Amino acid sequence: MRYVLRRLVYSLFQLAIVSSATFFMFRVAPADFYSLELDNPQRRAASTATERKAHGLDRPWEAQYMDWVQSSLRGDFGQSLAYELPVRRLLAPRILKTLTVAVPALLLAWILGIGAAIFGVRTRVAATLDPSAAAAAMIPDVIAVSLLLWLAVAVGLRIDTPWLPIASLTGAIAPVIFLHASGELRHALDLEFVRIAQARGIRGWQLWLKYVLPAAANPLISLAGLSAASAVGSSFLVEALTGWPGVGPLFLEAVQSRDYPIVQTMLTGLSAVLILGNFVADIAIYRLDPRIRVI
Amino acid sequence: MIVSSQLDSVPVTTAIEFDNYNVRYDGAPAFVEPVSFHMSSGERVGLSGESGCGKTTLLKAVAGLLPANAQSSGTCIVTGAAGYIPQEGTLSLSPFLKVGTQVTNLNRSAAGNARLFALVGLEAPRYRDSYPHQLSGGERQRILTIQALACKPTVILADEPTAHLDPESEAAILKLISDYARETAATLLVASHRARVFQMLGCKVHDMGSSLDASPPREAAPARPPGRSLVSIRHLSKTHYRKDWLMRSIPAAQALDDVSLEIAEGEAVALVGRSGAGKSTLARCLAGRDSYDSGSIEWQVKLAGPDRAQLVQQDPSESLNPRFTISQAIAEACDTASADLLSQINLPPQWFHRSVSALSEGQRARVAILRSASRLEQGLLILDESLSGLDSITRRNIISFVRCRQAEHGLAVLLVTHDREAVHEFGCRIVELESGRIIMVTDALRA
Repeated sequence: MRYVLRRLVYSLFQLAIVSSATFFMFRVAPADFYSLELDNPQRRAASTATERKAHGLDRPWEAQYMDWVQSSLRGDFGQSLAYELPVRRLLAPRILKTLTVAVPALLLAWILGIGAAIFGVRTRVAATLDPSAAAAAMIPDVIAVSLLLWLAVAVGLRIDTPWLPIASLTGAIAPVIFLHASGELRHALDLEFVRIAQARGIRGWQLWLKYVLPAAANPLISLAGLSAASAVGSSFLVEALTGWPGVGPLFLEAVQSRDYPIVQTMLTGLSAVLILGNFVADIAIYRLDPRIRVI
Repeated sequence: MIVSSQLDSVPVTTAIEFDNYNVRYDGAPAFVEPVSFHMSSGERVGLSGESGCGKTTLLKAVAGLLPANAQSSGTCIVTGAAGYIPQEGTLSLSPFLKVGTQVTNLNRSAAGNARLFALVGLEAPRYRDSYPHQLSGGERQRILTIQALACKPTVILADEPTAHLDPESEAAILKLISDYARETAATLLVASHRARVFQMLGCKVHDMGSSLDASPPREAAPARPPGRSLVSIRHLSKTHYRKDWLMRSIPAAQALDDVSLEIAEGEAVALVGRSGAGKSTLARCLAGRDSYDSGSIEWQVKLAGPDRAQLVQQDPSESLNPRFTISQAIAEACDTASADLLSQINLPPQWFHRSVSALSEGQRARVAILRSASRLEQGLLILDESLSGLDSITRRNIISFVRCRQAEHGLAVLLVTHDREAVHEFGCRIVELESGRIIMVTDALRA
């Protein structure tokens, strides 16, 4: 129990550091939304100054920081500068859209990756599959998604449905999972206690469920925590490329127009997913591995 | 897999047949001479020979457990179901399953399993509910024997099945194996360094020879009278906890119970007692590897941790990085490592750059002892059952090496052991533990 609490405190501390760093990063940035606006000949320096004031951007950093911390804790992440709307209202529907893509893709990638690895190790073809999986893992997402798009159009499939981003995301994550899983499983099969159990007549599902998988599990659980964040991160790109109305396109747009409140919230959110994933993975390993559980 | 045999109608058949059999690890042969011998079913053979002569490899070959880099030549025919009892329990038991489950997975008969646990002296339910890492080395070794017998083998392959055990548990294990073999007319192939094991099992001894020319034991240096106090242990207590499903701590066993002990510079102390009495726990606390609940350990010498105490673990393979060469492993602890040191532990100096993973269990134990002993000058060398896997000549050589360092530098030695002979040769003060308490202290016999 103490371990869980300690991990929780540690995670919250991490989140506080990362989000504060993000906050200050955008305060030291040499330009902001309004300096870009000045390129527009119809805007005057005076009018941007009043708007800066309206958004409280002229106040000292400490005051802005305190305000931001307080409102963030209430769940209010500020106003978008470009849309003049609360960040929360802009993001909420898009997060839902992203989740409808990222969650199925993550599940699919794990089922495919682990399934292929178990199949590969059992039929002893894993070693020969490894190079192709490594190659697949190395293909940049941009090229993979473009290829899929091109294929979809050539075959005449609809490209405004969620299958396209889901397929692209799965394709981006599954090979990495396969590579890790097949390596860990082959290592586990070679462990002394697994070989001895086999020699004593333990076979089939009993061998795999009770001996091989637990021995291979720890690194994979850690990877699961990380992959949650990488699924969301990759989905930014995939969505922007396939035109899926998730958070990806908004993020790209906000970065280009220097709509910092949005960028800042999304970066913090992304790190929160990563930290949460790690936290859950740590607890899971603690729960599952009797050697760690003694601590 | 399971072959039952009827005692009355057993025809004399071949159980194990070796013909000109040899195994090569990356080209290097494991046996000095190719093995040729025949065992008919029901026969009992003991494999003796210096550590590193290939006893374990031969047993693994019969069990079908040779590692991937081993290539065999000649013939090795095994008829029947083999039950292998490995030498070492940390890697041979799954760390993820309770030992009770690991036995049940092999044989569903609850009554039969309970009988096996009782016969080896582990009848208390807490043993079955423990994970391997919560047990002592001797307890793990007994679990391995139970596992092998639960499979109802017709050929039993035992590799030093009692190396970490006290005489009482040893007798129980050997009786169990012997009785099982008699009842089922099983064939028995046992590797050991101790003639006693072969005697008790009634084995015909097959000597596998030595891996190298054993140098005669050196003259032991004269003992030097113990100096001032090195470490005082006061009222040390420790409880092992386990976690329930909600991850709450529940006291599982009292490992140390108000232990007080004084060790002087240059002194040799032997820690004896039944397996599971808390000997290893005390050793680990002294080496700073384990924490304790209450009491204190006060060192009288001003030395940094690693110069103060060195622990050679029960399973030395775990403490040596398998990717290191011998020279790297020794250099890790002391910077004056040289190939000449190897002769101190009966290994040829040209092996200095050999990989640790190419060594046998006993050879690795020797490297681990050498490494720790050469690091220390004044401190405390803790040998946790490190001598039990060694043949008598090698053991005597190592003892005289350690005693030389004792005489030269005033090194103190804490010996965790069941081996009366080693206790005698070191001239140890004997401290006997039972259930975490010191029950008897016997003064050293001056030689």
